[in-house]
Amino acid sequence: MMKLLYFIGCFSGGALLAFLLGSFSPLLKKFITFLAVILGAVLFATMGTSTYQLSLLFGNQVIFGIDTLTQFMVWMTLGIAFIVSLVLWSHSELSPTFFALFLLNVLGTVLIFMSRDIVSFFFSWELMSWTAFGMILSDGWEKKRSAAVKYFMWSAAGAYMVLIGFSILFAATSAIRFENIVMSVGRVSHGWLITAIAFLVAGFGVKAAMMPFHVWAPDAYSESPHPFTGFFSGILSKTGVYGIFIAFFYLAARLEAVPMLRVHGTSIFGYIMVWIGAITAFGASLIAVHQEYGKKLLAWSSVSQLGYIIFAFGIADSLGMTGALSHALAHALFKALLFTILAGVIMRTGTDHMASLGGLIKRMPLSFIFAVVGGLALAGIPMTIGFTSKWIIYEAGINGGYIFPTTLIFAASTAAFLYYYRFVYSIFLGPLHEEHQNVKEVPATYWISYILLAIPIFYFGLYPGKLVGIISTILQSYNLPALTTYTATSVTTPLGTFNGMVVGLGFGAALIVGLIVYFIGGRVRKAASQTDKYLAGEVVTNEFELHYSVDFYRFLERKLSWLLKISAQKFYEFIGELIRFVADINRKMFFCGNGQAYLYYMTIVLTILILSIWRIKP
Amino acid sequence: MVSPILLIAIPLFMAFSVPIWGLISKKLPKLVPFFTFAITTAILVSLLPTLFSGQQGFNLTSVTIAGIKPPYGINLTFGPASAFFALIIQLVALAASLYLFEYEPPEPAEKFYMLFILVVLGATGMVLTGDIFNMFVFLEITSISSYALTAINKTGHSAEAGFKYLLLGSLGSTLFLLGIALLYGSLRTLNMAQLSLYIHQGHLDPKVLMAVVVLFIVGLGVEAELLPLNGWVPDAYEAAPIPVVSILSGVVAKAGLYALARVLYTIIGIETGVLNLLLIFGILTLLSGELSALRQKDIRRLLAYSSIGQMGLIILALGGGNSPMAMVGGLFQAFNHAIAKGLMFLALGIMAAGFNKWDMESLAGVGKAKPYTTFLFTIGLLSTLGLPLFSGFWSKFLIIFGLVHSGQVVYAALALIGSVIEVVYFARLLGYLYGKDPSEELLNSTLESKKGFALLGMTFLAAFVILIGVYPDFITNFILGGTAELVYKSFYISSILGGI
Repeated sequence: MMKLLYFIGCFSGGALLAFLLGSFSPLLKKFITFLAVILGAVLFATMGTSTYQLSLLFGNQVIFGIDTLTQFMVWMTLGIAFIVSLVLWSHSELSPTFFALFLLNVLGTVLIFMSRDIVSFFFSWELMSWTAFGMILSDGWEKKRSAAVKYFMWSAAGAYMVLIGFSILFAATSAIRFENIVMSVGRVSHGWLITAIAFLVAGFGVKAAMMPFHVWAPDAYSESPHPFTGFFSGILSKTGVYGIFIAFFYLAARLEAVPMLRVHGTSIFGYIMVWIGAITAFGASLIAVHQEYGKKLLAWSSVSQLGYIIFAFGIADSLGMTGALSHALAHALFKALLFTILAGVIMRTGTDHMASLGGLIKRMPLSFIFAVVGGLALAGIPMTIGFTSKWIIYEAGINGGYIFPTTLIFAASTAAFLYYYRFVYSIFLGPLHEEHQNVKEVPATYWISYILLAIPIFYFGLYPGKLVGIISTILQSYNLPALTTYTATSVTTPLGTFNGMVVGLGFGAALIVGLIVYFIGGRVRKAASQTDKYLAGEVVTNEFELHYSVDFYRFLERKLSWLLKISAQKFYEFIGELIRFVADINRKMFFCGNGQAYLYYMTIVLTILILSIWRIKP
Repeated sequence: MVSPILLIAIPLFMAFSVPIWGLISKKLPKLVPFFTFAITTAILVSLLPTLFSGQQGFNLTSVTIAGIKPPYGINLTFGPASAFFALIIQLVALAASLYLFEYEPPEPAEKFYMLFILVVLGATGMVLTGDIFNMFVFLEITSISSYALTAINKTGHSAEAGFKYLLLGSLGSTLFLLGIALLYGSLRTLNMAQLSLYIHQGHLDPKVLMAVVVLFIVGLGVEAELLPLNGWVPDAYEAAPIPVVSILSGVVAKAGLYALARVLYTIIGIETGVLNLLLIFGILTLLSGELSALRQKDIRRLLAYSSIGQMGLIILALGGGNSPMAMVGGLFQAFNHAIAKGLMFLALGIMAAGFNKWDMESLAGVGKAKPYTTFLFTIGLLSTLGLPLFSGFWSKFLIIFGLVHSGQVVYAALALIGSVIEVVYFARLLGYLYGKDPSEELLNSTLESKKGFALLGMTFLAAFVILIGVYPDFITNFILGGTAELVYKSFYISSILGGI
């Protein structure tokens, strides 16, 4: 009880102090934020697995609990929050409000994972949502306006869908604790249960940027303050994944018994999610390929990676569950790494427009190396965590017999290679721009955070059994199917065994051989400066723009333009127009400003109501 | 022993003594509203402990006037519901009267202060009285003073707004009176407990009863800002002086709401199918208000439409009265809305002080020019949006849960669609307030707006918003008692008329 209050007090007190004292000295706000995150982590470590009760509303107890899943998610959250608070040491320009809201945001996110009843869950959920809006807002407005409003609108819509879902469950069971709802879920009729689950999954799907509710995500991710984007896309989206997990596995299991609702050996929700996940993964990576701004590219990539997680969740057997949870961690790690690297590039060059960058490899070599590491994980190359999680997801798709969705997932991975190559090439390779001659490497806070993120990426890539072990413990505590045969370096799945260490080391050896060949070949290559320009023997002047990251994948764009035209955005814009139209008519009618008209309205209402009295039973 | 009657007597005396204070010093009338409300608030707070002493956990006292016992004499009732609404009214009035310290009212100033006290007095009377004709009298005191205050600015604009309000308001009170006349004609009594008892025993023809319901809803709907009867709201909120606007939304609307709830729940009873009417009125008011606010540029009109939307939400919650949860949420929301909207209007007054432009473009960047005031405004705004850490979260949560609990899932979903629209325009407003750089003119105006006392009053309201937002049980006992008093007719009747 007291420990939980200390934990909450640590973050909210830190937020208050950062807000009040931050305007006096920039050092103070950074120090307070850093300290609060570390202190919070220490407090959380001492809490263990336990349950806490707080008396809040009408003397009712709201419950916070910690189990293995909570620990997994919270450590992920606090880890990335620590990275952000480390990187923030180099960002004095952000306002004290930003620092305060960041701490509240972390608190809200952690409390979501801890809450064990409807009230505290929704409280934490809304806290997490609005503080993120505040952070986008605190960092300027002019060009972020539509992104910020869109984010806030969508997250409110998502939160309200969740609220409706919860309130239907409450109305049917009269319980607010999750465990009591699960116990008396038998009292809920099938129709209401399906409605509730549909609302919950859709609401959480908004946060997880599931198509067709993804339209806010690319804009919001790319317009959020740069150091925070990693947390935003890596962790906040996982709250949606977590929500789907609890909605699905607390409630949907009951529907499994109804034969009508079973498709392809799983519940109909699972089947729909497999398809939505696959389409999200594929569609978003195609769009990511065509982005011109680095943050937009990574943002679309985030949407795509979350599609993998939703796909795997939908399959819902031991492989799917393991794949989903491990990819949740993998995505948090490599996306935080890539967004932080991009934040560093933006800090040094002032832009993320990829055609204006290039050749930074000599100026920012560390950033380049870690961008490659992040990219390897993103593309699922062995020896990184991305391999472990994606491999399990592929096996889940094949094992479940979802032939077409799995094909889409494979295609999405190919597209991931394309956009990732574009990202690294446009920023770090190719000719160096004139104005970036004096760009320096990122400060120490940045490269320390790169290293901290790279360690788990490699560790879980080489020792997949360690990750699968953690996840199996979680799944077993929820009585869900789990992978049970694993050693530190190898995992046995229904389709066979894979050894992360052997594959990883083999791949690493191949990489080293490649590097050796490259360096030996370097002696015979004629070294050219990064600014030299040459075009098939023809000499061009320095003004000639040779960097071909403009229209990088034009050939693809021509082939796929018909596909890219299918846009959910347009549909929502149409809805928006419609609402504005109705709003105008409504205002012109009921608030026309004419006193006489108002009196007529009053008379009409009175007449209608009086006349309708006669229709009432005698 | 202080008596609830002082809550009416003291302001009445003070209101008419304003000219006398004015004779002593020109500065003195300015302070009269504050001291009046400070005294009445102190009396109210000192009376609160008596509410929670009875066997049921709460208590209702009936105060007889002139020694004649009800049902023959006029009585005041002081139970949790009355006290709760009186508290809302006093808190908003207190904050608004602090604002008056540095505010130059339109001439004649003395009449302004007098009317100001009278509005609050009338509203307090409405929530305390136990006699339905007396309620009509207090309604007239409140509304006639508000017409005058709306039109006090002496511009064509405010005269027009005041006139529209007068048209609708006077027709509304006439209908209310007609309803009272129908009741009196059939039942020969005006005491609310007696009326409730007779109707409960079935002495009234159901058709007459429904006619009374219709007359009451339409009549009181003008003050409670129900849909087709609220045309006056945006004009009045735009034209009236800022402290008056905060009173209109925080005091007058809440008194109208109380009257509606008291009449429909306690006197008529919810068995009669009134709830469906409330649900329909509520949802239409809510959606129409939020939709109208969507494209508003003038912040006063935007807040006026948002206020309509919020009143719609409260009426909707009262319509979900099958589940006490929705009712509790509705009363809670009434409190939150009064405090938050009052806070927002007062803060807006200071944001635009010495500047006098009220559209988003002109006030863009005010967050940088007047950070503290805008911060307070933001607290009110976030509470209105129902976000956690602020009191509005709990009431909205309870309303939606209560509505679904009473089986009205569709209404709950529609209300939430309205809330999403609310999020859009408030997010845009916040963007203007914080995201831009302030204009020269706005920066210069900060020098003219040193408003210590007004800020004190607003800080006081904001503290309530956050305190309740973090620890709602601070006030929930009160609201539970209020709900019980409104819903359990037999408790109300037996407390006033003695055992049956």
